[in-house]
Amino acid sequence: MKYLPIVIITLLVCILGYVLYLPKVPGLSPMQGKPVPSFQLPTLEGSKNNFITSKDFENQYFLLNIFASWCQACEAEHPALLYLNQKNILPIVGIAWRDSPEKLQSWIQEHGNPYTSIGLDTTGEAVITLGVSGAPESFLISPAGTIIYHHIGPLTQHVIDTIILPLISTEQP
Amino acid sequence: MKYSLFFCLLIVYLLTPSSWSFADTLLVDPSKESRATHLFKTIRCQVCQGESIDDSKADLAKDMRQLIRNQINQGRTDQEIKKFLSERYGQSILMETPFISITWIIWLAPLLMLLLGIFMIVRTQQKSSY
Repeated sequence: MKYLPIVIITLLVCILGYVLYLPKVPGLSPMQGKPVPSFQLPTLEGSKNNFITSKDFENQYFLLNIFASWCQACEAEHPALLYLNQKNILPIVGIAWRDSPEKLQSWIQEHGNPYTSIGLDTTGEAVITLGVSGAPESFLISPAGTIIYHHIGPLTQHVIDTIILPLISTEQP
Repeated sequence: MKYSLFFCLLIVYLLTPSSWSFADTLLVDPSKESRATHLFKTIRCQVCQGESIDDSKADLAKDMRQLIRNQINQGRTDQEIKKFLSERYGQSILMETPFISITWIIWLAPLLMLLLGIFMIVRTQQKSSY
């Protein structure tokens, strides 16, 4: 009874801390478990199709990567994407955020192209529709068109090996 | 002298790239623009989290303001726009925390603390009166 107030205060502080911390926990993105939201973007010249739409993300696993040529963290992430592309497990689709086709072309030429197609989001509308807060961010999409993992920040070889690839192998029948 | 200094500073500001990036395309209808501005104040910037998207100069905040204007033009209600954003970014995108299952503790914590304080004062007085 003597320590009851201290116990209650400690409990309240813990619950408050948990509630405030909850939205920032990696892997608890509100987008996880939801279908890919509807969007349509023109593609960078040289991509497979003229448009990328949310309907394209079906029947196989996809990695959707938000990046930009002006983003230094994207440059740091790029070797990990090239590593994933070398494994030839799933197509990587890029969305270039607030970028110009010219800068993007030269950036891709300089750093290599792991993408099957690149969509151009000059207004940020598709990026906000996907719940993105900054570049780079990535979404692992299941064959049913559901986002099964939302990675905030640069992907690394470690993240690919320990999160992305196991998710694909455990989900496959 | 005062006016010339003011105009000099204004010209310098307008020639600064940051002022260009902050320039939004406003809605033609003033009542819709006023509704949009009111809504901007209720949405938290995801880049600089202490600010609303109305105050923020971040590119993401600018894009969000434009998206909200587009949705107002499409006839969406304020509630629909807030729902659209909170479904994507979580409830923390709203400047005012809603009273829902995971946030009730934030609203009730001050009341619980007050009751606990009263309880402790009463108990201390009861003990000292013995």
